[in-house]
Amino acid sequence: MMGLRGAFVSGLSGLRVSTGALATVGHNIANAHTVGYSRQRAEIGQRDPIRFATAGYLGQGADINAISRAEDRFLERQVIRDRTLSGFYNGREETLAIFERLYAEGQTPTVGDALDSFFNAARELSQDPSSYGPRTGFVQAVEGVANTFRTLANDATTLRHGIDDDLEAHLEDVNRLAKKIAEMNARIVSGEIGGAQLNDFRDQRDQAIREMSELVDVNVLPQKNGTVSIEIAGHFNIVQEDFAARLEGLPNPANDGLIDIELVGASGERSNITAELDEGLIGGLVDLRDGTIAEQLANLDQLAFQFAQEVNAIHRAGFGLDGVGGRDLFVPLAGQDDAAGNLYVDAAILADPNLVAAATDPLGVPGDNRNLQALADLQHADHAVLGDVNFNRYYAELLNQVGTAAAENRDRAVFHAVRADQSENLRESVEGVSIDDEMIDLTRFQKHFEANSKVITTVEAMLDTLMQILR
Amino acid sequence: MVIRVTEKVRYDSPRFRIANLRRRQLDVNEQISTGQRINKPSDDPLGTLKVNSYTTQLDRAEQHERNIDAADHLLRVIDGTLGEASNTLYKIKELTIQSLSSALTQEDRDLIADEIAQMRDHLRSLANTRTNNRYVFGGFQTLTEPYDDAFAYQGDANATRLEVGEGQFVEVTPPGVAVFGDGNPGTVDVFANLVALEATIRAGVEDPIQDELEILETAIEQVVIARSRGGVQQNRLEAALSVNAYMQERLPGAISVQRDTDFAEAVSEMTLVDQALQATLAASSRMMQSTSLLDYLR
Repeated sequence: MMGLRGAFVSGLSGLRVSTGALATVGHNIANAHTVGYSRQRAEIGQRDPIRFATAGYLGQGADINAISRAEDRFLERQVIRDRTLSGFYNGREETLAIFERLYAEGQTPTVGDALDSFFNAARELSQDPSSYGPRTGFVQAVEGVANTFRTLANDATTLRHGIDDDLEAHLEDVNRLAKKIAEMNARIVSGEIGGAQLNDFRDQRDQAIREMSELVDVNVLPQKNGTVSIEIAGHFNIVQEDFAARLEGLPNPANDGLIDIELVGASGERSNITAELDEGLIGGLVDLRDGTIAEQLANLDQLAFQFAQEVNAIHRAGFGLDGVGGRDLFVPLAGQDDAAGNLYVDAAILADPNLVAAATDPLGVPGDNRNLQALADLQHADHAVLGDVNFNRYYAELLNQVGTAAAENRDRAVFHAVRADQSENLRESVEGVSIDDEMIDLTRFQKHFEANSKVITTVEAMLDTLMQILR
Repeated sequence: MVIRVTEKVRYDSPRFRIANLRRRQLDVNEQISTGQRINKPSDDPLGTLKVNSYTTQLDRAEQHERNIDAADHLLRVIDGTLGEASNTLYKIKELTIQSLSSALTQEDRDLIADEIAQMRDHLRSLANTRTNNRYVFGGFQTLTEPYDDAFAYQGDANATRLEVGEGQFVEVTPPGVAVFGDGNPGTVDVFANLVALEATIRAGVEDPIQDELEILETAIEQVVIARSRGGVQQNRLEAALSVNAYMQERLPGAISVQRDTDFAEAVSEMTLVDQALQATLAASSRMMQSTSLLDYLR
């Protein structure tokens, strides 16, 4: 009778295995499109046998020993690395495109156009400095220079502040993800006590890490207890066990009130990690804000400052129609900082174009055009502080720099997006769900179930036969 | 290793490829619809730099052309005026020689003196020539009549220069003092001498008239030299104009080469992208709808 019972137990265990394995297949299919899901597998093993009389051991059927999940640590790391690189270039692509559009020759006049107009208006007025019309034209051209410089500087500054809004949102993303990782750490530690892996929590944790890797550079440190510690920006701990540190943006008055990024640790200690955050989407935005755009603004300031200084020096040496000299054409600038954003035409000259100093000699008023010629000649003058080029050329070089920065970023953004896509596909190929595979398993375990049922019905029939003997 | 194609890859990677092609399509479309290859600096950073400096040169050439026109106008006005002035002086010279004839009575000489006085006034009106509301012979004093009723020079000794090309200047207005004099040594004061001539003829003495005649010839020479100087400036202007015309003809082409769309190239690129996109769409839909084992397990 021992044998019949054994066959029954084995058949029953087979049913359990096939339904369990079928459940896993079902779980896989259900999650075929779940982001971050790794396909799971029922690991089937033999049960321990029991001694059967003296002949030997009798098998007791099968068991699901574990539900494992497909995992490739190497590919995981590759994906994280590629996403960080892709995030750096792709995250700022849009803002950089807006930035370079500020320089595009469009319907609105650019600084370059305004400089051309300025010098040519001086030449136009030199035809007859006594007449009012060309004087008005000249003053308009001067105002054009001031306006285009201010507009460009203000637009670029607005863009820098716009980046801050993005940054704040992304810091919150990092915080949310860090919290998620810490939460999963806690659930894994408490749930995996028996040694079984909590696959679905691990998937969610890995997915959170991947998402975080797009924003900042992450270093994943697996611990013995099943938790992971996360370091960002080189060596700053953001997740440890069930604790998640926070990133906070703090306005820095020394940087136009733009935010510095601080990491707030367990006991509230703060570290400023702005300089170390040089990778991922956040690093890309910080680099754009404090690197590319800030540098271009500084270059623009230098151009505006140098231009205003030189023009004012010549203008002060000349004399207006009223015979008075020593006037500045532009409101004098305090210094190079924010020069472009603060370039204004002298209010008195704006109100009265007759004050434009066309003459080098007060006795030469009104026909003396020599000071205008001196202004026009500035167009050809090279300036050591601008790298030994003239104003127009310096502006053209700025255009070139902006264009090169945008073009390089675009190329790299595409390249790294492709790379990230490829490594994600590789990871998916190992860890993802294929319907074909699942269909095979589905059929396999369906047949398995049928076969085990047959064992049980056979045992049942045999038991019936036995019962009839007894009757 | 066999790469398994999983469900997510089947649906996500076409999306990525289609998005890339759509973006290229948009770029080419912009190039065609704007007619410009460079719509933003990153389209061609070096080309942007070149276009910018060509534009600066072109703007300047256009301004130089306007300056050339203004200079040309002034030089023509001055040339005509000085031609008329020298003719007038020649007539005065003839009248003066006529006045030396012994056949003339003092009455006849007075008539000649009257005529000379009229011509002198005409000469003053020539010296006070205005164009576009400016006196051309007053030096920098463009709003003041250069010679007043008493023939005193009110202008200054400055010549106006205009930029007509890169580092090229022409003198557009000679100061009146260099043409008609102002009484200071170095030049002949034409008007003072004509006043003296009139008086001498009325006095009817021969020798002083001979002296005045000599001075008159120097005065004529002075005006003719001034006129020929204007001719020299006119020649320089012609030279500047031909350089200018060359620049204005060449620069738009140079700008166009850098900036404008090569339509043949753009259209073939467009066709290429279109085909790639269509092929990708077709292939992707096939891949997404492709049968799996699922379709056969009935």
